[in-house]
Amino acid sequence: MTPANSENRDTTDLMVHDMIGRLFEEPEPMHRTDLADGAIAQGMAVTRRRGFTVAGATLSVLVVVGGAVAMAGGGPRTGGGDWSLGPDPTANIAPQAYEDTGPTYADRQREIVEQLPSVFRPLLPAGVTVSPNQTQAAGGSSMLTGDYVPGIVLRSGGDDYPLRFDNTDAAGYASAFARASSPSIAVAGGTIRVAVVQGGTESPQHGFSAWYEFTPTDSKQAFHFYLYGSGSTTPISPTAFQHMVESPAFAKLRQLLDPSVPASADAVRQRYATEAKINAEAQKALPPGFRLKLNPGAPGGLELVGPGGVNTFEWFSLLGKDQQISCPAQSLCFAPYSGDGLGSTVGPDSKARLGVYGGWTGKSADSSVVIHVFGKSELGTSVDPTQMGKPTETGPQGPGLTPQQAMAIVKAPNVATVIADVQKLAALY
Amino acid sequence: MRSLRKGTSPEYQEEFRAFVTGSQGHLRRSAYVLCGDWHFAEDLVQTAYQRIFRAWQRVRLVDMPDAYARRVVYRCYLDSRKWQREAASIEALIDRPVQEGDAAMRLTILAALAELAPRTRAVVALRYWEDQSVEQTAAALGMSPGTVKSMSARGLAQLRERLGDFASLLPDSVETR
Repeated sequence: MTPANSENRDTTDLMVHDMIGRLFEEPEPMHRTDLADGAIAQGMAVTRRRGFTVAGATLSVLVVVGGAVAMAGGGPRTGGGDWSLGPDPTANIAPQAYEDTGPTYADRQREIVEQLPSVFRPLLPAGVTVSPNQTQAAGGSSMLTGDYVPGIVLRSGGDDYPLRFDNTDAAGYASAFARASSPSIAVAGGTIRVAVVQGGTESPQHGFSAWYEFTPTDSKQAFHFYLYGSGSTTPISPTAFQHMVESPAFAKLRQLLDPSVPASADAVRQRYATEAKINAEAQKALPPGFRLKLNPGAPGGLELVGPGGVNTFEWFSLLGKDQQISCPAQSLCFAPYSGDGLGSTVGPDSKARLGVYGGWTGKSADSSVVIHVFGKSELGTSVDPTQMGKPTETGPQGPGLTPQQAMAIVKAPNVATVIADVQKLAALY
Repeated sequence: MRSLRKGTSPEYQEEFRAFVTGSQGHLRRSAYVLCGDWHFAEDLVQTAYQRIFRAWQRVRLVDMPDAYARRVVYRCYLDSRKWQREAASIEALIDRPVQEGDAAMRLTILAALAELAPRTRAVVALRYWEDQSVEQTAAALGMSPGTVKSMSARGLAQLRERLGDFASLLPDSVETR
């Protein structure tokens, strides 16, 4: 692009931006002030005892609160009926049909998480280490492809710097290198570029973001990562990055992060071992014929494998007076979508459903379980953006859970402990 | 560390509230650019926050939660069937009495934006209102960079044509990257 064209482009950008900005030259109307509470109430199907501020509330929030009040006030109780678990009406395939004997994407994801610290550590400059606190390392997944974006947190001078091995153009490398006018530097085996952008490229909350690129001479596929942190100095200088890519150990890092490399057989064995531990716990609460499968990309990191197929699965143990659900005692409540609160009570009709179930674990509203059971994660234009991972398609989509099956989970002995133990085993970080 | 119980703790919810407080103004305006209706814009933002809260235990760990939230709003807009309702508001705009000065200009801009196809409107909003690159826009909307470029060019050409007396708000020819 010539300088003249670039100038025209910038002028166009500014003029269109200014034109749209004219929409906001008049005062904006009064806004709702309870967006967060509404999202919390609907997203988690939890009502807080201290209630909601109704003034200015959205219609949708009013629906949730109104529903909660109606049920708490003695709506229809469905505690009766036959809640015993009979034969699964959806059973048509043996659970063993969903086993992955070969390496899966999830295996590879877990393998990278486990090996990345030891592989990356030798490449770091003096004074920079892998932080003992890796809670910010969960880089998430590409919304476009579901591809896992590996991450790690570095520590230098007492400060932590999250780092993402995001190799997609959408991460903003091109604009960062353009803004910083970063030159290409010849190194052994290729060229490198480094850009340090104060304030980051998208969010002003960081002191700086630093962008790194290595383009090997023998491949068109560049290697990228970026990091960010407070202050203004990156812990990996251009010289340190040059030493990194010229180190013999750098090949091992590229191999680990190469998306075309499948998981090792050891990773598959480890998955089976972890799933065995998970299911040893989960079987204490799941209905007969069901088990859990690791899928770091799925919401909650788990899938529910049953006689009728596979569903995404999350379960929550809610404890305490400020985490009561809007469902009467001795009842099971259901909503077809997690944004709709807990809907209404449901009886033991043996009909499998996709959606959100919830109920008290005992006689107190201070302990309840909420179960999210949905269809397979899908990626594409209709994807729910919060499903940030790549789905594991190990079998046909299941029909969900029947009220009897959901109630069996809710009423299982020590279900809160089971849920907590399973989550520890399934956690990636 | 993923912790499902943590997702319902008061501290966790306070953290989410702080995020909403800091981001809602910008997201609301973004949604308004997309749909041209403040009430619908708030519905979009509310829906987006519901989805974000469901994934907050992961979203809170990413380094650019604001950018993620913006993507959710745009996806909610495109996913929503409510754009049919938006079409009704277009008619309402067209049927409004003629207004003078700045108000007339704003209505004309809104009407011009409203006549763009939803995906084209999302591309124009992301590229020119949010100052996103072609690649970032493509990633946010799940389309190729080439599609973003062609939609940008087509969208700006349509806007200029429909701005009528206010066409001078845009350059005579548009340059897209």
